[in-house]
Amino acid sequence: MKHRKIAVALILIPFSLAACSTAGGNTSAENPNSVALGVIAPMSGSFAQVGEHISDGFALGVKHAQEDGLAADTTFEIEVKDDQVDAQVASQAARDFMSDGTMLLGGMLTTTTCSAVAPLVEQAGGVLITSVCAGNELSGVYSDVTPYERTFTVAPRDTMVSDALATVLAEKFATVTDYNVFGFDYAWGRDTWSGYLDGIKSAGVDAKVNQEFWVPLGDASYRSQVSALSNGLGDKESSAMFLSTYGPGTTAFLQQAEAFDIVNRVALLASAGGYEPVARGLAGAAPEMWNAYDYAYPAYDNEFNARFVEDYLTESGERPLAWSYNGYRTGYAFVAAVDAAGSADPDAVAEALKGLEFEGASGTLRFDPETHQLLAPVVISQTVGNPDAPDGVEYLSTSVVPAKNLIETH
Amino acid sequence: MSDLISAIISGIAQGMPLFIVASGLTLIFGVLRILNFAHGAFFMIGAFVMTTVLSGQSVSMPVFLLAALVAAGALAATGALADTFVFRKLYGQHPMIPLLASYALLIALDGLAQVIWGNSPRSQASVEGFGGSIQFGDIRVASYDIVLLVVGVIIGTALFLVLQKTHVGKIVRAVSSDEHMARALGVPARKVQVGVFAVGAALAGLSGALMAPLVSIDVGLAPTFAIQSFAIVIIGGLGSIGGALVAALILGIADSLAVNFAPELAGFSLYIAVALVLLLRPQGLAKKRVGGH
Repeated sequence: MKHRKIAVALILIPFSLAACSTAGGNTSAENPNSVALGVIAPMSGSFAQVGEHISDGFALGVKHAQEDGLAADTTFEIEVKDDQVDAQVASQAARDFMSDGTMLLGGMLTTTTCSAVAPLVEQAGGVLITSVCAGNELSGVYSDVTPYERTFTVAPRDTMVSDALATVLAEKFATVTDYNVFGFDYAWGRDTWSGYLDGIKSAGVDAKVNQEFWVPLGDASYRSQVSALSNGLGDKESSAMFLSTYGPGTTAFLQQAEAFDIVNRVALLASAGGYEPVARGLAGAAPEMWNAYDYAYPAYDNEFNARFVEDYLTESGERPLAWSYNGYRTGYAFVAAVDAAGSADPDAVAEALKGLEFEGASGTLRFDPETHQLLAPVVISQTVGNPDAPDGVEYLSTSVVPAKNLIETH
Repeated sequence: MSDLISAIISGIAQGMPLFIVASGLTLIFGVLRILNFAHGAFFMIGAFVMTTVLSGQSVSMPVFLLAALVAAGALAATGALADTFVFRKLYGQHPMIPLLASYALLIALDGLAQVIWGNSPRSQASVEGFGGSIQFGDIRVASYDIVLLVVGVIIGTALFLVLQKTHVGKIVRAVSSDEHMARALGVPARKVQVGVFAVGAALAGLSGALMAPLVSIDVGLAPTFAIQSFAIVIIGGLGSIGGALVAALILGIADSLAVNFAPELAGFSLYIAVALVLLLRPQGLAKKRVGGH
């Protein structure tokens, strides 16, 4: 009997201690004004560059939010975990964070990882703000109802990006009707192109597909496709080249297309998604490209953006990309939500995020209370490689398409 | 007809770089019986060394080739170290053990590359005078593809001649065939192993250096050509240089024909070819390996 009582006590004590440490949600037992924020991002492998920008941006967003007077008395402790762009690894990172009491989570790149983590956060009572994930299914922007009560999305949806590009290019290139397409054969690649094509047709352009080539995701040898593309190009004045690739795929295509001078045999070269890293990597040799994505540092001429760009350059050693800015908005949003809620309690933070307004480079940003989508514009950039320009990329023009326009006209 | 010829030439241009990539892999397996998962990392490091040596700038062909040899030399040293510190004690063990060790080496080299070169992608400009294409009637061929074709032929010929016609090649084939007997006859088997691994790694580095003007150079480059390399080695016959050459050309031409005439099959030609070979001739196309088996 005595041994049984001791055994029961020995079992109960650790559970009690664990319960004490997680009670009160996100604050540290040692410092009640300390709030833990967890960032999940690809910190190794092919997408390490993205993860680095997300986490650096996140930290700067937290810092600037506090400098702007939000939750000024609170110490935010940021921890970063690598998700290796893998749903299982991301899920485990989320579980590890939440079991340690870190209930406010942000970051991630792909819809797959975000979709894996969102339900876990929902079940555990945490809060998730996704930084770069752009799948339509993550927010309620097209269904008017969010799929996850405790998940909020910062990046514009994939269709918003391709719609924005279509809106601008339909006006500027109304007589360019023959599209040649090269892309990665997976959901994002196909959806981006089909969304763009639908968009320019809706805008009145009599667009048709001249040639299209789809390669497996991750392939880098396109000699056959490039050669066939070159042979099939039509009249320059009416021809366009649309790249539904990203990162290394876009670089490899441009490198391999150089031999056949493809980019100079079309009137328009366009892509959606993160193109600036590719242009920087081409070290001043990038061709003229029209691109749509979440952010471009020259797009906004105001103090807020200038501070962000300057401080990011100082702290990270390079100018921010869209991923940096998405991480920044995520960190800033968390601080703003804690300030609005007056607490780091996940329930209060989730409630505060609905309809939360906070400042950004494009002006005041707001999370739609029903769809949980951050209503932020898409930036259309026209760039060309120039060895004398910052990072070897010269911005010929930028324009901004408001989120409201894109959602209403979709 | 010109479309067909164009597709075949394009296919050869597609396949020859793959042979260059796969040649080191098949050499290492042929002699040392190690399927080296770190081959992709050697390829990646070769590309990184190239763009570091040349600062990504466009240079003349002699300078470019010299830089490629520097990359090959760097990988030869890396390969020698890898053999000495990773694989030396694993020869003769169950095949899974060196395979796992090579995978661990791949992860380690990926991490090292990230530390040395960072996460931002780089590019290598095309060689001066070889960035365009040459027109043969209706057919257009990239100038640089002709360079890769010539280099591939040189590598294939050199490997064949060294392995089949020289005393060094005889020693290598002896160690591959029966290491213990070779040692008993006074052959420095250990030196042969180090040397072969170094040459295999050097070939991977050379292929990375030569492919640098055609790809994005970043830490994700390691697996990019790995699948094609392994497919070529399987189809050609594990350990057969000639088989790897034939397989690379067949795969390149098959892919090009699919792209031009059966686009719905274009993404699958590699896997269809591997499946067919495994079903019909699992030992691969070639009859003989490096070791003569």
